Amino acid sequence: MRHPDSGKTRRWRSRSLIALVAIFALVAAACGDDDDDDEASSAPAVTTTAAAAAAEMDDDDHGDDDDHAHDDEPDSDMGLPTGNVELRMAYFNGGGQTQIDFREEQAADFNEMHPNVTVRMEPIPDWSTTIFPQIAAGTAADVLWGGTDDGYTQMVAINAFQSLQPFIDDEGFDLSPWPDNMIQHFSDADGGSLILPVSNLAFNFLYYNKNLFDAAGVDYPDASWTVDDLINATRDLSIPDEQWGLSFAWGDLYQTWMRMYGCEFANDATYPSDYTYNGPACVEALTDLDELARNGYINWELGAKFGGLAPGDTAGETAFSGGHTAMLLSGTWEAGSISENSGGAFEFDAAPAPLKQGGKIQGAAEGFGIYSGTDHPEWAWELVKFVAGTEGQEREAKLGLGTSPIESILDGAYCTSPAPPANKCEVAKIGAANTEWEPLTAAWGPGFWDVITPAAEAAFLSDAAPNWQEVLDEAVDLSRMAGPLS
Amino acid sequence: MKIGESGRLQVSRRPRSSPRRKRRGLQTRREERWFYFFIAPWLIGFIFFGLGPMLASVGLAFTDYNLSGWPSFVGFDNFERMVDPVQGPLLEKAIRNTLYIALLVIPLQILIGLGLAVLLSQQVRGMPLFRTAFYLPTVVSGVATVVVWIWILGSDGLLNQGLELFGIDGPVWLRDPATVKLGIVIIMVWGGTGGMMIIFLAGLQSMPRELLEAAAVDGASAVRRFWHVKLPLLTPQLFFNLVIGVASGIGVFTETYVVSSETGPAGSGSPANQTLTLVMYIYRQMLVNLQVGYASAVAWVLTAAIALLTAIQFWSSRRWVYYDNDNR
Amino acid sequence: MTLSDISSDSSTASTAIGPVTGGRRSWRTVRRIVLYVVLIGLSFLFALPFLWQASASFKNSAQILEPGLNLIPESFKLDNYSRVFDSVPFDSWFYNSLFITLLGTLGATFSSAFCAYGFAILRARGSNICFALALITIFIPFEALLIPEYILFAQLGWLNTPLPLIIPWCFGGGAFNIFLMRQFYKGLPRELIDAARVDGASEFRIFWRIMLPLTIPALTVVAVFHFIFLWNDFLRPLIYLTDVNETTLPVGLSGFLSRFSRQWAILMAGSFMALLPIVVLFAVAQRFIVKGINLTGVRR
Repeated sequence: MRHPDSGKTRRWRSRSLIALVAIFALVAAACGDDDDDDEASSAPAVTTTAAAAAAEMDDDDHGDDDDHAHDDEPDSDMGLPTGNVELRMAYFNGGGQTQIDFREEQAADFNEMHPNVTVRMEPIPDWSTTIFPQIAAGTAADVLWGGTDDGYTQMVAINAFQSLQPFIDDEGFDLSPWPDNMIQHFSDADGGSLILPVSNLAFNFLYYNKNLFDAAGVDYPDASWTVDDLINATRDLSIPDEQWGLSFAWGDLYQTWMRMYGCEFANDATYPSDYTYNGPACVEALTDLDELARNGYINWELGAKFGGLAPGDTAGETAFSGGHTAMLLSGTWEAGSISENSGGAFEFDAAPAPLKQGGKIQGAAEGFGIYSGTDHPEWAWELVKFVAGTEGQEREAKLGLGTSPIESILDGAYCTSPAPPANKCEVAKIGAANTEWEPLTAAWGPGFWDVITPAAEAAFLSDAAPNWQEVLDEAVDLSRMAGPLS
Repeated sequence: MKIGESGRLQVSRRPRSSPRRKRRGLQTRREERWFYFFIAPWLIGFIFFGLGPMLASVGLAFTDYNLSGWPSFVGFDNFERMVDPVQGPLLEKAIRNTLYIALLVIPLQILIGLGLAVLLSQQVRGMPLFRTAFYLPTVVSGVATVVVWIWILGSDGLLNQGLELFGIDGPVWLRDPATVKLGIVIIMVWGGTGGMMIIFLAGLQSMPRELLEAAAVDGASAVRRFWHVKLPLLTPQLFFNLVIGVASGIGVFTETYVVSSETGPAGSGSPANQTLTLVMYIYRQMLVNLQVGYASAVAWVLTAAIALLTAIQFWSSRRWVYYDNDNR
Repeated sequence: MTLSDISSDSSTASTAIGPVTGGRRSWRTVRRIVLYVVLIGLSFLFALPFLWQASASFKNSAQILEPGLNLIPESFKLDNYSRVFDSVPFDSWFYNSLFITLLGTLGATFSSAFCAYGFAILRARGSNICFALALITIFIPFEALLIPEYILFAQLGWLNTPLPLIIPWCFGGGAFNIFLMRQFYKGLPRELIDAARVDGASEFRIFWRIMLPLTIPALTVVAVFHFIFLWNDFLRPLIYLTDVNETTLPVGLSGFLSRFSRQWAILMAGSFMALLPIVVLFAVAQRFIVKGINLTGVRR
């Protein structure tokens, strides 16, 4: 609807509009500058250098004899700064309310030991979305969770953690209970520890439904099983459109399967310089898996097109708990969900997933470290030790939460707990000893995940069985372009 | 406005401001002051909460920044990256997926929303109950929705059971790369038409009744009355739904994120990059790969594209949107 | 007869329009029956997800994941519901959600109605550019602003307070709502305003006494939309409220469906309780959305 006087005045108006835009832009620029400055100043004070932290500690060590506030707790607060402190700890909440309650209890106990320190636990259901803005604003918690499946690589790349090494050296903190490969994996390029690992989520729990095995007359799996045994049992236990031999917990567990065959994803497990996931073991693994999926033996999201999903399109734990699938490949954490969701309809146990020559177990390890921007590094270290040290891990193991990477703890608490599966101890130990984690190079995300996920999915879902060598060769080429490692 | 012969809405384009024109300067200044008085809350909010983050984000588009240290200025590198051999094909895929979804969703949402609104503006007993029922899919949200969608779109889901009655063997909608986008279209149409429907409904109810009655007295048929009276009067709402529909259709994220998280890692575009829409692509670059500068650049190119489409719609609206109360 | 009389469901309404002859009457009856059949059929279809969620809240996890139209649960035991209250601070989450949603909705509805009057009715230099700037804020993908916005609110010291979730809405109520209200204002008859101006009414008076009462359906739409949006919002409470007891329902309930623990049955009960308030709200509010408006009264 044109205005009658639109001719001349329109031009006049448009000129003044331009002037107004200019004014606006100026105002905007002024505001924007302020904001940019804020942002810059609030960017994380990258790495309160370890040396400084160590020096501070030395000072405290020498002068601590008289400022000891709580005589009834000998040496617990030795050398630690006094005064009231609010300490925050952020963790990825993958365990629901049980985990929240457990951490709250830990916070209360820490406060009882150190009355001047209040601990606030922050469970985070969506890690990347929450933690990265916090790191950008410099408001992340003093103690930060780090998990290899959730942005840990990126967090290391942006120096979100400060090195634990000065504290470890200073106290002579004993790392020997932890598996060497794990400590190495959680180190920076100089070999200094960044994370005190609290659990290792190894994907080597082969849960099996005893009732379905009995019905099919198949022997239960055990540590002597080979990959071929697993494949044969998967076939034998399948009933078309009714029952599946094997379930995968998640869609990307094809990677676990590749590792089982001895497939090396890159030329170095922690700081690689090239992608190598097109080797013969990798090709063999995916070819075998593809065949199982195309015949509908596997209950798995990527086998959906070939009858690979149970009623309600459920895969993984849900299908296993519903009694639709005989075996489930996953980790220790599924036991609770299986008990809850199956309602005791069948008996189940677990066996270690079989490995081929040179095979590894895919793992997602997690632990706690100190945020590089914290104001209370000493107290943060105390809390890290309290939560992730042997005592903390023991408490967690008693609850049946997670899997401690420390063997003595598995023996003491986890192995003796009555909770199913009966064979969990053996499986967990094999898992801890053979796990391999994701590399810690920042380019790994765009180079590996962004390339292999669509490539593998497209191949698994294609109408005819693909040539996996070609698929992987192409993907590796693309990886080298998308995320050069050297 | 009035109803002319044959029940057609006639708009009198009277010289609206002839008495005011003489006092132009005074009137204009007075009106301008009132304008800024009314928009003051928005302006203040925009300057304090909106402008800073927007400018920061525009600035970041010209930098290389991964949240650590200083953003370093890289000129137009981020924009050149969008067409390089690695990101180019991926971005093209994201554009294709986005257009596929948007081009189906936008017309379906608007047409179905309009149809339902007309249906629900009938006068029958129990209408409040019907209206509430029709709006329910829009209300159902949150983590539990995933289960609801699998229940409807799963291989043995309601939709496939319905299709079976017609002898059609339905696909695994949300897992098969060939159908996952259609599945997302179904989710968006199902869950998104309620909003449009309500806006149309409110538009239908806000119409001056005399006009409708006058048209009826003139003996125009119901269909005629709809096309020539109700629809023109509904064009402001139609225009709103179109602008918002285009922006939210192209900005699709939540539905694809939920669906892809079911099979793959968060923001992966699973299965087989078929749910990788533009906003999902930005999410992945920004919060998974921490390429903040590059992601901001893509985000602003997308914003500019939507703004351009909207500008075209505003320009064309002068020809087809009927405002009785226009300040142009 | 006034228009609000017509609007509520009254079977006499149809007689107001035109004379009805005998033959047309039977045609009308047929039409009416068809209309009812269509309405009942479609509303059942549309209500399905809601009904299913309701029934799922009484089932156990295995039953929930069974496919098929099994809408009637085996029993109506309240186990799932009591487990919600036993295991999580549901009442605290509910209260937080309600507090944030009510204040945010109130602020957004009134301030958007206010600002939209300027954008819709008044002519001024700069009005187009301001409106364009407002619209652009709808188009920007949320990720682009996520980090700068978070930094801004962190600088203001608003983290772990409900302020970032409420205050911005009180300034303009968001471009979506402004745009929506603008469209409704622009559709109203011009004579109303011209006449009021001739009478010497101030612009504020025109807004307050004429426009606002006439756009109650639109105001209700804005309020309903914004209420549902805030009630269901996940992202903002997730990043701004990190204290687990002080968070909102969507973030809190997501804990039932975490990576290592899936408690379908409790999740369904919790979600259904979270859903009820917005369904009740809509059932009440829809009366205002469809309330006819008596223009003759205003126009003299």
